[in-house]
Amino acid sequence: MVLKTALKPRWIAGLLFALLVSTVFVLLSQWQFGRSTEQEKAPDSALESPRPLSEVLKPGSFFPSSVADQMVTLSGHYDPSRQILVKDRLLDGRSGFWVVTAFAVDGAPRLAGAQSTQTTWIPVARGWIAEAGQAPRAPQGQISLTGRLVPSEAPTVTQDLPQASYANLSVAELINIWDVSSYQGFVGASEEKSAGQDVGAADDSALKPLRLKAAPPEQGVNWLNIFYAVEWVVFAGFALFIWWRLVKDDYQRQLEAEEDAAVFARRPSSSQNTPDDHRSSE
Amino acid sequence: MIDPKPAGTPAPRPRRFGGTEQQIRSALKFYKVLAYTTGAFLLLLCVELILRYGFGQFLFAGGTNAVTGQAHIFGLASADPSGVVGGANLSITVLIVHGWMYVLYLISNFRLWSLMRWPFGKLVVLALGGVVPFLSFIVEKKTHAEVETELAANPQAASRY
Repeated sequence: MVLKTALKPRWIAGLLFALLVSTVFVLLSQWQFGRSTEQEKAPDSALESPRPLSEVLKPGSFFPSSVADQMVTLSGHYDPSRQILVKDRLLDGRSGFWVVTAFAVDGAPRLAGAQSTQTTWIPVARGWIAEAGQAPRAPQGQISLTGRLVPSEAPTVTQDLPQASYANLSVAELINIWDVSSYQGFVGASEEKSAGQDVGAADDSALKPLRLKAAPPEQGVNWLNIFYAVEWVVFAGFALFIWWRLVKDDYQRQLEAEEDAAVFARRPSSSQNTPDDHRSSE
Repeated sequence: MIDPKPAGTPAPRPRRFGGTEQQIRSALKFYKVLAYTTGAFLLLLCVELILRYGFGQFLFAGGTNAVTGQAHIFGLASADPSGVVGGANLSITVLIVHGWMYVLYLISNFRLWSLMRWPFGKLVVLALGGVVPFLSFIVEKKTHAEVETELAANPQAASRY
């Protein structure tokens, strides 16, 4: 039986070796699979150097993805009466609220259309608070602001929200609530200065800074690595198949040897070293 | 112990192949074609690796020059950051084609090896022949001669059907 051949010590050792080899191949396959989704690109470093908002984005026009998460500078003033909270926002793992206030942008072009307001606004996420009641009033007066320009989030329908709190920071939604014309993105504030004084969120106050980071660029799957991963799995199977071939061949040789011996025994007179036809008995 | 076999020298085990002569010859041809194509692609791959890691260049066909914005027809360009946008990267193509061709080469090795019923070490020699530049040509020549010699020396060894 083939099994008997397979149980010979040398074939058991061979099997262990084949298993070892295929294990290594499977590990190599996993390594390639891991590499196929690896992050290769860091966010564009140009996003980190602040540019004036007026250079980066025009209100009422398309928001190009190249300027998403760009650090921008702008000046203007807050309207403390136009302030909302966005719920379920995390800061260091804690869930709280973003405080979002309407900011009138100095020198911003006026939007076309009968409903457009005299000034053009942009929502500014000023900071994070743990409890809804902690939202401080927006600072007064002329403010120069530095922050990250982020595309608007999509609105979602959520019921039973507390007063003045929203599920998402959707500019389209805020335009209707505040009744103003707005840029189609918002700013996550990192620095607010009024007459040289820092008036923004601080770690030691109730309003904590957001410290928004640029999102990493979208990453596709590296198909080259996927194919290598498949290739290694095939090789792992092949290592075991070769072991099986070797065992089968050994078994075959044994059968042939027995057959040859039988042929040889039946012809004691034969002096030939090679049987003239090893299949004559079939 | 009584030897059941009659006196005299027992017959040495006759050589047997794993297939017909036709099968062996077809496997031999398959192996030859792949030994030459894989060997050639291995040389191309060496050139590619030297250009890439020695000089930081890829070979591109088509596309646009990333710096000047002019059409790129055929030639070397910087690999990282890519000097050509949208063209076909022939360096990477060589890499991929060689990778899969080597798999076919291994299949051809296995086919010839199992038909000839050679020992395992022989399969390793054949497989390694595709990894070292120029070696596949030499191993192919030797193997080819060996198969021919064995076929001629053992006319009874091949299966008939």
